[in-house]
Amino acid sequence: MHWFKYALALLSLVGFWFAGLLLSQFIALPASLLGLLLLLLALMWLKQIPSALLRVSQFVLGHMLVLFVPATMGILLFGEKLAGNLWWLVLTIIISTVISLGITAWIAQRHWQNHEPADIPIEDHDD
Amino acid sequence: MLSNNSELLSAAIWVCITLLVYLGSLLIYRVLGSRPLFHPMIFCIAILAMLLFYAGVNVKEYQSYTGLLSWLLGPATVALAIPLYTQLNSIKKNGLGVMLPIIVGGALAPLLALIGLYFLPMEASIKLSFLTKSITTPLAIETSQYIGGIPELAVVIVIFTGIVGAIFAASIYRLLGVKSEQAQGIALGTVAHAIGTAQGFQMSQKVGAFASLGLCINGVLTAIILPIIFFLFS
Repeated sequence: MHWFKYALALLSLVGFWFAGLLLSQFIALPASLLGLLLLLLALMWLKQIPSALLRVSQFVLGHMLVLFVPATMGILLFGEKLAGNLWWLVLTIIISTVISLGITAWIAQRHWQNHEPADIPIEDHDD
Repeated sequence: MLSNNSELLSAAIWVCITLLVYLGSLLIYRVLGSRPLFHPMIFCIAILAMLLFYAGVNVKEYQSYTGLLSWLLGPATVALAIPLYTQLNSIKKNGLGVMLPIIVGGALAPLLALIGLYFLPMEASIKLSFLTKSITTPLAIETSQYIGGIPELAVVIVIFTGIVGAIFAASIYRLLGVKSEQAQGIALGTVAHAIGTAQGFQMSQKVGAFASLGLCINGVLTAIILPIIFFLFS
Protein backbone atom coordinates (compact mmCIF):
# COMPACT_ATOMS: atom_id res chain seq x y z
CA MET A 1 0.00 0.00 0.00
CA HIS A 2 3.05 2.29 -0.16
CA TRP A 3 2.13 3.70 -3.51
CA PHE A 4 -1.24 4.71 -2.07
CA LYS A 5 0.41 6.73 0.70
CA TYR A 6 2.72 8.44 -1.79
CA ALA A 7 -0.19 9.23 -4.12
CA LEU A 8 -2.04 10.71 -1.17
CA ALA A 9 0.98 12.82 -0.20
CA LEU A 10 1.27 14.09 -3.77
CA LEU A 11 -2.45 14.86 -3.85
CA SER A 12 -2.16 16.77 -0.59
CA LEU A 13 0.51 19.00 -2.18
CA VAL A 14 -1.90 19.69 -5.05
CA GLY A 15 -4.68 20.27 -2.52
CA PHE A 16 -2.66 22.82 -0.55
CA TRP A 17 -1.68 24.54 -3.78
CA PHE A 18 -5.35 24.72 -4.74
CA ALA A 19 -6.25 26.14 -1.32
CA GLY A 20 -3.51 28.73 -1.89
CA LEU A 21 -5.05 29.54 -5.26
CA LEU A 22 -8.43 30.18 -3.63
CA LEU A 23 -6.85 32.24 -0.88
CA SER A 24 -4.95 34.34 -3.44
CA GLN A 25 -8.29 35.79 -4.54
CA PHE A 26 -8.39 37.58 -1.18
CA ILE A 27 -4.72 38.06 -0.28
CA ALA A 28 -2.37 39.79 -2.71
CA LEU A 29 0.35 37.10 -2.57
CA PRO A 30 1.36 34.39 -5.08
CA ALA A 31 -0.81 31.24 -4.91
CA SER A 32 2.08 28.77 -4.39
CA LEU A 33 3.49 30.88 -1.57
CA LEU A 34 0.10 30.88 0.17
CA GLY A 35 -0.15 27.10 -0.35
CA LEU A 36 3.35 26.76 1.13
CA LEU A 37 2.39 28.82 4.19
CA LEU A 38 -0.85 26.82 4.66
CA LEU A 39 1.09 23.54 4.57
CA LEU A 40 3.60 25.03 7.03
CA LEU A 41 0.74 25.87 9.41
CA ALA A 42 -0.64 22.34 9.01
CA LEU A 43 2.80 20.86 9.85
CA MET A 44 3.11 23.13 12.91
CA TRP A 45 -0.29 21.89 14.01
CA LEU A 46 0.69 18.24 13.38
CA LYS A 47 4.09 18.86 15.07
CA GLN A 48 5.71 16.34 12.69
CA ILE A 49 6.19 15.57 9.00
CA PRO A 50 4.27 12.49 7.76
CA SER A 51 6.89 10.07 6.40
CA ALA A 52 5.23 9.66 2.98
CA LEU A 53 5.04 13.45 2.59
CA LEU A 54 8.72 13.73 3.50
CA ARG A 55 9.75 11.16 0.86
CA VAL A 56 7.54 12.66 -1.83
CA SER A 57 8.69 16.21 -1.14
CA GLN A 58 12.36 15.20 -1.17
CA PHE A 59 11.86 13.64 -4.60
CA VAL A 60 9.86 16.58 -5.93
CA LEU A 61 12.27 19.22 -4.61
CA GLY A 62 15.28 17.25 -5.84
CA HIS A 63 14.00 17.18 -9.41
CA MET A 64 12.20 20.50 -9.48
CA LEU A 65 14.62 21.82 -12.10
CA VAL A 66 12.80 19.99 -14.88
CA LEU A 67 9.58 21.82 -14.01
CA PHE A 68 11.02 25.21 -14.85
CA VAL A 69 12.67 24.17 -18.08
CA PRO A 70 9.64 25.34 -20.19
CA ALA A 71 9.64 28.77 -18.51
CA THR A 72 13.40 29.11 -18.92
CA MET A 73 13.22 28.37 -22.65
CA GLY A 74 11.31 31.65 -22.91
CA ILE A 75 14.64 33.43 -22.53
CA LEU A 76 15.25 32.68 -26.23
CA LEU A 77 12.48 35.20 -26.99
CA PHE A 78 14.31 37.95 -25.12
CA GLY A 79 17.66 37.61 -26.84
CA GLU A 80 17.31 40.76 -28.95
CA LYS A 81 16.04 42.91 -26.09
CA LEU A 82 18.95 41.95 -23.88
CA ALA A 83 21.75 41.73 -26.43
CA GLY A 84 22.65 45.44 -26.36
CA ASN A 85 23.22 45.52 -22.61
CA LEU A 86 24.18 41.91 -22.05
CA TRP A 87 27.65 42.54 -20.62
CA TRP A 88 26.40 45.20 -18.27
CA LEU A 89 23.65 42.86 -17.03
CA VAL A 90 26.11 40.00 -16.50
CA LEU A 91 28.53 42.32 -14.70
CA THR A 92 25.73 43.67 -12.48
CA ILE A 93 24.79 40.16 -11.38
CA ILE A 94 28.39 39.16 -10.71
CA ILE A 95 29.27 42.30 -8.73
CA SER A 96 26.02 42.50 -6.72
CA THR A 97 26.22 38.79 -5.86
CA VAL A 98 29.87 38.87 -4.82
CA ILE A 99 29.44 42.00 -2.67
CA SER A 100 26.28 40.78 -0.93
CA LEU A 101 27.84 37.38 -0.30
CA GLY A 102 30.88 39.00 1.31
CA ILE A 103 28.96 41.52 3.42
CA THR A 104 26.38 38.96 4.59
CA ALA A 105 29.05 36.47 5.67
CA TRP A 106 31.08 39.20 7.37
CA ILE A 107 28.06 40.53 9.27
CA ALA A 108 27.02 37.01 10.27
CA GLN A 109 30.50 36.33 11.65
CA ARG A 110 30.55 39.60 13.64
CA HIS A 111 26.99 39.06 14.83
CA TRP A 112 27.80 35.60 16.17
CA GLN A 113 31.26 36.41 17.51
CA ASN A 114 30.28 35.91 21.13
CA HIS A 115 27.78 33.11 20.86
CA GLU A 116 27.81 30.76 17.90
CA PRO A 117 24.41 29.46 16.87
CA ALA A 118 23.63 25.89 17.84
CA ASP A 119 23.90 23.17 15.22
CA ILE A 120 20.87 22.74 13.06
CA PRO A 121 19.32 19.75 11.29
CA ILE A 122 20.72 18.81 7.91
CA GLU A 123 18.42 19.20 4.98
CA ASP A 124 19.59 18.61 1.44
CA HIS A 125 17.79 19.59 -1.69
CA ASP A 126 18.88 21.26 -4.90
CA ASP A 127 17.32 22.87 -7.92
CA MET B 1 -4.99 25.21 -26.04
CA LEU B 2 -4.71 21.53 -26.92
CA SER B 3 -7.63 21.20 -29.27
CA ASN B 4 -7.13 17.91 -31.09
CA ASN B 5 -5.38 14.57 -31.00
CA SER B 6 -2.29 15.61 -32.93
CA GLU B 7 -1.67 18.46 -30.49
CA LEU B 8 -2.16 16.11 -27.57
CA LEU B 9 0.41 13.79 -29.14
CA SER B 10 2.82 16.69 -29.61
CA ALA B 11 2.34 17.61 -25.97
CA ALA B 12 3.10 14.05 -24.82
CA ILE B 13 6.17 13.90 -27.08
CA TRP B 14 7.61 17.25 -25.94
CA VAL B 15 7.04 16.46 -22.27
CA CYS B 16 8.93 13.17 -22.77
CA ILE B 17 11.71 14.91 -24.70
CA THR B 18 12.03 17.50 -21.93
CA LEU B 19 12.30 14.78 -19.28
CA LEU B 20 14.95 12.94 -21.33
CA VAL B 21 16.95 16.11 -21.98
CA TYR B 22 16.77 16.90 -18.26
CA LEU B 23 18.10 13.45 -17.33
CA GLY B 24 20.82 13.76 -19.97
CA SER B 25 21.84 17.19 -18.66
CA LEU B 26 21.96 15.85 -15.12
CA LEU B 27 24.23 13.05 -16.33
CA ILE B 28 26.58 15.48 -18.12
CA TYR B 29 26.71 17.64 -14.97
CA ARG B 30 27.61 14.64 -12.78
CA VAL B 31 30.19 13.33 -15.25
CA LEU B 32 31.87 16.76 -15.28
CA GLY B 33 32.23 16.61 -11.50
CA SER B 34 29.07 18.45 -10.33
CA ARG B 35 30.69 21.87 -10.69
CA PRO B 36 28.41 24.94 -10.45
CA LEU B 37 29.85 26.24 -13.73
CA PHE B 38 28.28 23.26 -15.54
CA HIS B 39 24.79 23.67 -14.09
CA PRO B 40 22.39 21.20 -15.78
CA MET B 41 20.07 24.03 -16.85
CA ILE B 42 22.76 25.32 -19.24
CA PHE B 43 22.81 21.99 -21.11
CA CYS B 44 19.00 21.76 -20.99
CA ILE B 45 18.58 25.12 -22.72
CA ALA B 46 21.26 24.42 -25.32
CA ILE B 47 20.01 20.93 -26.26
CA LEU B 48 16.33 21.88 -26.32
CA ALA B 49 17.05 25.01 -28.37
CA MET B 50 18.73 22.81 -30.97
CA LEU B 51 15.90 20.27 -30.96
CA LEU B 52 13.26 22.99 -31.32
CA PHE B 53 15.20 24.52 -34.19
CA TYR B 54 15.45 21.22 -36.09
CA ALA B 55 11.82 20.29 -35.36
CA GLY B 56 10.62 23.69 -36.54
CA VAL B 57 8.71 24.30 -33.33
CA ASN B 58 8.80 27.79 -31.85
CA VAL B 59 9.25 28.55 -28.16
CA LYS B 60 5.63 29.63 -27.60
CA GLU B 61 4.35 26.33 -29.08
CA TYR B 62 6.86 24.39 -26.98
CA GLN B 63 5.66 26.17 -23.84
CA SER B 64 2.02 25.36 -24.57
CA TYR B 65 2.90 21.69 -25.29
CA THR B 66 4.76 21.40 -21.97
CA GLY B 67 2.10 23.25 -19.97
CA LEU B 68 1.73 20.20 -17.72
CA LEU B 69 5.28 20.63 -16.38
CA SER B 70 4.77 24.34 -15.70
CA TRP B 71 1.50 23.60 -13.95
CA LEU B 72 3.17 21.04 -11.66
CA LEU B 73 5.56 23.74 -10.51
CA GLY B 74 2.75 25.15 -8.32
CA PRO B 75 2.23 22.04 -6.15
CA ALA B 76 6.00 21.42 -6.15
CA THR B 77 6.64 24.89 -4.71
CA VAL B 78 4.24 24.07 -1.87
CA ALA B 79 6.63 21.22 -0.94
CA LEU B 80 9.18 23.86 0.17
CA ALA B 81 7.11 24.03 3.37
CA ILE B 82 8.78 20.79 4.50
CA PRO B 83 12.41 22.02 4.63
CA LEU B 84 11.11 25.32 6.02
CA TYR B 85 9.33 23.47 8.83
CA THR B 86 12.55 21.61 9.63
CA GLN B 87 14.40 24.93 9.82
CA LEU B 88 11.81 26.51 12.14
CA ASN B 89 13.19 24.39 14.96
CA SER B 90 16.67 25.82 14.46
CA ILE B 91 15.25 29.35 14.64
CA LYS B 92 13.49 28.41 17.87
CA LYS B 93 16.75 27.04 19.22
CA ASN B 94 18.88 30.03 18.17
CA GLY B 95 16.40 32.87 18.63
CA LEU B 96 15.44 35.48 16.11
CA GLY B 97 19.03 36.79 16.12
CA VAL B 98 19.85 34.13 13.53
CA MET B 99 17.61 36.07 11.13
CA LEU B 100 19.62 39.33 11.10
CA PRO B 101 22.28 38.32 8.53
CA ILE B 102 19.59 36.71 6.36
CA ILE B 103 17.55 39.91 6.31
CA VAL B 104 20.64 42.01 5.54
CA GLY B 105 21.72 39.71 2.71
CA GLY B 106 18.20 39.31 1.38
CA ALA B 107 17.76 43.08 1.08
CA LEU B 108 21.29 43.87 -0.09
CA ALA B 109 21.42 41.54 -3.11
CA PRO B 110 18.39 42.94 -5.01
CA LEU B 111 19.18 46.55 -3.99
CA LEU B 112 22.74 46.37 -5.32
CA ALA B 113 21.47 44.88 -8.59
CA LEU B 114 18.88 47.64 -8.89
CA ILE B 115 21.53 50.31 -8.32
CA GLY B 116 23.68 48.72 -11.01
CA LEU B 117 20.81 48.88 -13.51
CA TYR B 118 19.35 52.22 -12.50
CA PHE B 119 20.75 54.28 -15.36
CA LEU B 120 20.37 51.65 -18.07
CA PRO B 121 17.84 52.63 -20.74
CA MET B 122 15.70 49.51 -20.39
CA GLU B 123 12.09 48.64 -19.72
CA ALA B 124 11.06 48.55 -16.07
CA SER B 125 9.91 44.92 -16.42
CA ILE B 126 13.49 43.82 -17.19
CA LYS B 127 14.86 45.69 -14.16
CA LEU B 128 12.13 44.30 -11.89
CA SER B 129 13.12 40.78 -12.94
CA PHE B 130 16.39 41.30 -11.02
CA LEU B 131 14.64 41.79 -7.67
CA THR B 132 14.12 38.06 -7.16
CA LYS B 133 17.70 37.16 -8.10
CA SER B 134 18.66 35.62 -4.78
CA ILE B 135 15.60 33.50 -4.01
CA THR B 136 14.92 29.92 -5.00
CA THR B 137 13.66 29.59 -8.60
CA PRO B 138 10.04 28.42 -8.01
CA LEU B 139 9.33 31.31 -5.67
CA ALA B 140 11.16 33.72 -7.99
CA ILE B 141 9.00 32.77 -11.00
CA GLU B 142 5.73 33.56 -9.27
CA THR B 143 6.98 36.55 -7.32
CA SER B 144 8.46 38.22 -10.41
CA GLN B 145 5.14 37.72 -12.21
CA TYR B 146 3.43 39.40 -9.30
CA ILE B 147 5.61 42.49 -9.25
CA GLY B 148 5.57 43.07 -13.01
CA GLY B 149 8.84 41.33 -13.88
CA ILE B 150 9.45 38.74 -16.62
CA PRO B 151 9.42 35.18 -15.19
CA GLU B 152 11.52 33.75 -18.07
CA LEU B 153 14.21 36.32 -17.40
CA ALA B 154 13.92 35.91 -13.63
CA VAL B 155 14.72 32.17 -13.91
CA VAL B 156 17.89 32.82 -15.88
CA ILE B 157 18.99 35.60 -13.51
CA VAL B 158 18.34 33.40 -10.46
CA ILE B 159 20.34 30.49 -11.85
CA PHE B 160 23.22 32.71 -12.99
CA THR B 161 23.30 34.38 -9.55
CA GLY B 162 23.49 30.95 -7.91
CA ILE B 163 26.35 29.88 -10.18
CA VAL B 164 28.31 33.10 -9.50
CA GLY B 165 27.78 32.77 -5.74
CA ALA B 166 28.82 29.13 -5.69
CA ILE B 167 31.97 29.78 -7.76
CA PHE B 168 33.22 32.84 -5.83
CA ALA B 169 32.16 31.99 -2.26
CA ALA B 170 35.37 30.29 -1.13
CA SER B 171 37.65 33.08 -2.44
CA ILE B 172 35.51 35.88 -0.94
CA TYR B 173 35.50 34.18 2.45
CA ARG B 174 39.28 33.80 2.32
CA LEU B 175 39.70 37.45 1.29
CA LEU B 176 37.48 38.77 4.10
CA GLY B 177 38.70 36.27 6.69
CA VAL B 178 35.28 34.72 7.27
CA LYS B 179 36.16 31.48 9.03
CA SER B 180 32.91 30.71 10.86
CA GLU B 181 31.18 27.87 9.04
CA GLN B 182 27.79 29.13 10.19
CA ALA B 183 28.45 32.55 8.64
CA GLN B 184 29.72 30.99 5.41
CA GLY B 185 26.59 28.85 5.12
CA ILE B 186 24.06 31.56 5.95
CA ALA B 187 25.54 33.89 3.32
CA LEU B 188 25.66 31.19 0.63
CA GLY B 189 22.04 30.14 1.13
CA THR B 190 20.73 33.69 1.45
CA VAL B 191 22.48 35.12 -1.60
CA ALA B 192 22.89 32.08 -3.86
CA HIS B 193 19.79 29.99 -2.94
CA ALA B 194 19.77 26.27 -3.83
CA ILE B 195 22.86 26.32 -6.05
CA GLY B 196 24.79 28.02 -3.24
CA THR B 197 23.36 25.51 -0.77
CA ALA B 198 24.54 22.58 -2.90
CA GLN B 199 28.00 24.18 -2.95
CA GLY B 200 27.76 24.65 0.83
CA PHE B 201 27.23 20.91 1.31
CA GLN B 202 30.39 20.32 -0.72
CA MET B 203 32.32 22.59 1.70
CA SER B 204 30.96 20.81 4.81
CA GLN B 205 27.74 19.47 6.29
CA LYS B 206 27.59 22.41 8.70
CA VAL B 207 27.97 25.02 5.95
CA GLY B 208 25.27 23.22 3.97
CA ALA B 209 22.83 23.06 6.88
CA PHE B 210 23.14 26.79 7.53
CA ALA B 211 22.85 27.50 3.82
CA SER B 212 19.50 25.63 3.85
CA LEU B 213 18.35 27.94 6.63
CA GLY B 214 19.30 31.04 4.62
CA LEU B 215 17.69 29.63 1.47
CA CYS B 216 14.36 28.87 3.16
CA ILE B 217 14.02 32.04 5.22
CA ASN B 218 15.15 34.48 2.53
CA GLY B 219 13.03 32.76 -0.13
CA VAL B 220 9.84 33.03 1.85
CA LEU B 221 10.54 36.50 3.31
CA THR B 222 11.36 37.98 -0.11
CA ALA B 223 8.33 36.32 -1.70
CA ILE B 224 6.10 37.84 1.01
CA ILE B 225 7.69 41.29 1.20
CA LEU B 226 8.13 42.15 -2.51
CA PRO B 227 4.44 41.72 -3.49
CA ILE B 228 3.38 43.72 -0.42
CA ILE B 229 5.73 46.58 -1.34
CA PHE B 230 4.38 46.58 -4.88
CA PHE B 231 0.80 46.34 -3.65
CA LEU B 232 1.34 49.42 -1.48
CA PHE B 233 3.07 51.52 -4.14
CA SER B 234 1.01 50.67 -7.19
